[in-house]
Amino acid sequence: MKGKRCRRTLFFRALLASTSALLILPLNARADSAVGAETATGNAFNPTGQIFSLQPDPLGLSALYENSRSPTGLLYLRPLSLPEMVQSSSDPDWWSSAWAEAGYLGNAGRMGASGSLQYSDLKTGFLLSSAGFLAENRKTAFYVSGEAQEVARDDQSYRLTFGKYGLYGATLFYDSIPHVFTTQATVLWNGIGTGRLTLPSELTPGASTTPQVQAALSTIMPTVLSLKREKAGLTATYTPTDDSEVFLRVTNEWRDGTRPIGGTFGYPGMAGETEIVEPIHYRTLDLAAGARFKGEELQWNLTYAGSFFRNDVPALVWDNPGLTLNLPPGSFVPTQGRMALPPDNEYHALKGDLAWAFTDGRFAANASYSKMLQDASLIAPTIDSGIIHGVSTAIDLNNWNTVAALSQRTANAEINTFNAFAQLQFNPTSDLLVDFEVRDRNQDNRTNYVAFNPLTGQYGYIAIDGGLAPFIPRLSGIYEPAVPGSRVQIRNIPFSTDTLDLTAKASYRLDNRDRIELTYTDKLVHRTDREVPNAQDNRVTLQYASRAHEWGTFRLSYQFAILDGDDYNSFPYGAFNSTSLPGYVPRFAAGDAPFTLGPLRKYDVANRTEHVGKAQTNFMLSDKVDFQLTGDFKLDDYDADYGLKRADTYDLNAELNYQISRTTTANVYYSFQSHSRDMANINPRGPQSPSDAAGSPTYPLANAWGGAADDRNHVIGAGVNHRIGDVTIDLNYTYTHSTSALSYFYASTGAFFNALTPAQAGTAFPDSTFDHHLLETSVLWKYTEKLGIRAYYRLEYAHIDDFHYAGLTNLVANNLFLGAIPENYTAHVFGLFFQYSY
Amino acid sequence: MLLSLAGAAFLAAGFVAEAHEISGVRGDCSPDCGLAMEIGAYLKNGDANASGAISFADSHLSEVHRGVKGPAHDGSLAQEIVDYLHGTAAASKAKLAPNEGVKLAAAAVPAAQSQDQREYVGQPRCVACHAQEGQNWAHTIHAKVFGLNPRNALESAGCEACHGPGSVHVQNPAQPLSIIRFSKRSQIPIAQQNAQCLNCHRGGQRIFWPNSVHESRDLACSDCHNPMANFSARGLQARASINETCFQCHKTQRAQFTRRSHMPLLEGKITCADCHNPHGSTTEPLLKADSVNDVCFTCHAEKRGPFLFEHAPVRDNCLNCHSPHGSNNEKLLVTARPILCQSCHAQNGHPAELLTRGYLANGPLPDVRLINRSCSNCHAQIHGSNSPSGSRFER
Repeated sequence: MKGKRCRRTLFFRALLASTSALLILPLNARADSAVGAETATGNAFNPTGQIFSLQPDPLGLSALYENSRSPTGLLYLRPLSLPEMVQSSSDPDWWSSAWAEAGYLGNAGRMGASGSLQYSDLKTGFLLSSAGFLAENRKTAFYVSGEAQEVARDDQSYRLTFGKYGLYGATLFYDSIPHVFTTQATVLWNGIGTGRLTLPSELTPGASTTPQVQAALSTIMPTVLSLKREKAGLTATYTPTDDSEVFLRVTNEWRDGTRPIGGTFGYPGMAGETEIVEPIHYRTLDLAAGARFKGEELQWNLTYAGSFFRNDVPALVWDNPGLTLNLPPGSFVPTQGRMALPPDNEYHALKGDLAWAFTDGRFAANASYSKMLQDASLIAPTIDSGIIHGVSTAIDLNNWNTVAALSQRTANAEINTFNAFAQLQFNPTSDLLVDFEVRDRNQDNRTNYVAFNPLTGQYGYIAIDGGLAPFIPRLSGIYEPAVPGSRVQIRNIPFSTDTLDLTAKASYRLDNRDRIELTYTDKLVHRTDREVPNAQDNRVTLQYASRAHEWGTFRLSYQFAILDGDDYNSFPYGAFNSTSLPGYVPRFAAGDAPFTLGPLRKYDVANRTEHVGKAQTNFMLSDKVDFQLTGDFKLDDYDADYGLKRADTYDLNAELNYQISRTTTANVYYSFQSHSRDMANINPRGPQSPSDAAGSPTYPLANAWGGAADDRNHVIGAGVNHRIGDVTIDLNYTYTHSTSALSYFYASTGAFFNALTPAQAGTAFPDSTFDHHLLETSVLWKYTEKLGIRAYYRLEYAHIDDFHYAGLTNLVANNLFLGAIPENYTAHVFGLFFQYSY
Repeated sequence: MLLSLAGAAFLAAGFVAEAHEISGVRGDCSPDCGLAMEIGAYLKNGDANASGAISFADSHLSEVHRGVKGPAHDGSLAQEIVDYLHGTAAASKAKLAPNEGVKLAAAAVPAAQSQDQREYVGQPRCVACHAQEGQNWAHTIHAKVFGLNPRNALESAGCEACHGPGSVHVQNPAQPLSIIRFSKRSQIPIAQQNAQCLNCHRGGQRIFWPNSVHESRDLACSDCHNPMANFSARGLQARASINETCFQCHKTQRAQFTRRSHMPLLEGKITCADCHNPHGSTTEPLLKADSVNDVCFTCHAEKRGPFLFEHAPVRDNCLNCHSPHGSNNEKLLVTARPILCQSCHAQNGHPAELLTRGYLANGPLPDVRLINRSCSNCHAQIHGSNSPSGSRFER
């Protein structure tokens, strides 16, 4: 940790140094809607990042009218009543304001990783919730402001901004986001957070018994698994002229902690699952710099973006307790497993935008070229030693547990992407706008890896560190030329995509406040090494926007799309499998075993018909009342007998906002959302014939089954803000209720190998539900103009039922789990804070 | 209908609002500024017929004429206000008839055409009537830039930089097109309202604004921003934050973020603008990058790879499996595992077996493919593996 702190100190020093340099080169910082992802300024205690001491101004936006509305017709809120800045007595050119809020936060009940702890730090104790200042020199227009939130907490953030109004500025920032996965993990291993997990001394890797493991588990205290994202950075812009701007953005993120991850030494029916703990020690340096020109007729942007990801722990090695089922005595059991963790990678992108306005029209274009590079050192195919057996071959792991067993030592992975976009708009008449667009995106994967062991002259790999071969020799991972149907993946598959979108739009303005638009898009997709090489997605969209009515605004759209592709090839991966090697012997005399169910369609490439509708409406019921009704639907019908067949989504939202008086506002809303999908599949009996048809010996219809997922969500919210003299009361409540039903049907118990009776199998999983109540109240009493007292109370209740975790314990049928089940909780958070501001 | 609902207490104020939905600035006040403030106070106190305000203004004017007020008070502003207040009712009654707005807009074209003859009147003239607006606006970044370091003549114009020259408005405040207003009742076309903002804010992040999803639905800059006051900590949003501003319309997404699995948006740690550029982009969902995955990799660089072994739908589009705005399932998954995986996988072996409730941990035949993290118990590196033995994403 000391080293980490040192690294951060160095980074901050570098930032300060670069900032100093930037003082010479003036810059003007602000949140950028086109670059970067650092636009947030809040935390769970203060999601909007507002200054706590500010109250809505009952005088509103204007003395001339009580309420005002946006062009869409939504009521503007009461603006915040900001104190006048104070003039410096020593230097009258300087003016300043400042604020701070500090107090005590307490809690009762139980915090839970599923909500109250997940992304926030509301622990008991002293809290400097917010402090900041703004100072400006009204002679030179120089300003400097600073802000700190949640000081010394896991969700703390800091921001320092300085510059000259309208000319330049820079922001230094730091933000921290906690992410708690579980507070109750039972971790069998030592070395949590490192790349080496070792078993306690009483257990023998590869040879522990179930009672021994059970005994060891019983002595282990629950552990919190969490990580923290800390990001620091500098953003700056400089506008040398009215029409030009240069900007710079440098950020570094440290992500440290742990999270649960699966790890296996087995196969279904064989046990050997070991849920373990992944160490997270990531650093990501992001750079972006560019220039923008904003002339009246000509505009252009030029941007370079680079991202450099580094993982301090490139691989995770863990001891295998050795629990198995149904394995012949004396079988090989791996003592260790090793998995590759996310490798270091780099990204470079150069992007240019151009727009040129001409009489009655405009041309805009964009082009970018980017490279994703990854050349991390590869780990050996296994970390274990010993002899395993394929169908006809003895495999000495000592020939595979060294990097000498690799055809190449580094990944040498690369994906290059080219994007181009061009848009021509012109007005044939004053009411008609015609728009033509073309967009091309080519993603070229140039990675080329062959799983060939020069030590043995064999193709293939070692499946799960040798753990699979003793149970199913055919799945050892090694290609055995003498064995019919020894189908093994021997190369990476460099999935590449080329898409071309052609769009034509016609937008007709019926009058000043009504607009109708018709859009047609033809998207041509070419994918290499996928089931559907070429596809065409045709979309027609009709939209209507009307602001013509003084009582409301409508925005409606409907889209119809048909995606139709080449004939579906259910096994396009032959070139990357041993089937492509000379001498490969098919499983059957008549051909090879089917790779998968022929009529199944993977939904990401399947033919599909789609209907999408969206409606945004708002009604001004009175000068003080808004009512909004919005909704949308998306209906996807896949041309598939098996696989995903249908996915439908419906959303409906209603909200009422009432500005009761200049001192009281209230709102209430309700949202309903549903998502359902149907899918079907056939449980294969194992290779029986070359046929992949439904109803074939391998895929008998008696083994067919289907599943239906049905999610329903209800969200109710309400809020009141009321000011009585110097006291402002703010109250907000949200209730979420979700139900996810997952049902299934089957032709016969062959769908699950007759392992269960129909009564045991049932027809549905227990519904997964989520109930969440969140009540937040804040009462602010401005004792004087400068002093205030704020009382805070938050009630959060969460209850999750998820069938995946029903009855889950740390040891289930010789499979080890962390026990990181969703946590139910009721948490009360209360606080009393004192404010000072001027 | 609107008038009846507005209530008598703000009848006069409503008329004034119709004519005066414009902003003011804080600056050097004219001697008559106090008059405007007093009138504002009357109106705020609910003088139903604005009689107090008119009376006060008349009195003020009378004092100017009688020489009671000092020489700095030329009385012209007071005269304008009195004329305005006396004349507002008739003008507004005619104007506020339902559905009259469009007709008026068409009829008012000559006024718009006469814009070339309009003159700037200066910020003090604006705040004389719009004192409250001026006070609010004084705290905004626009006021500071325009007031402390204007870069050009337009910025020096203060209020009129955005609202246009005010001479016609001063002469006839009730005229709908006397000045550029930014509101529901504004007769100014949205494109023209937005053009005022784009005068300074064109290009850059907004280079693809023309005919973008938002622009083509007639959204105004002032639907999301309100430069008249600080509602948000930054960015002059129309609501308290970027997220709340987007949620004005995108209520489905607001509800999605309350689900069990969600990114820390409601917790204030990310915003909609971290992934989307509401000002236009080359992608239909207004993504901030060229593709969905490019956006996701901004924060999830560890999943960028490229990996030795890639999972095709992952490389193609993260949204094949994830619902970024929230999900009932863990890890923002679009549906529960194993159904999610079994929608594509029917290979020989174990992927396509129906897993039933009998396979739950408390069932008669617990199965690792179903319980806990389901398929990902074993296929842990599902986003791609860099292990030479990772073609099935187990290592």
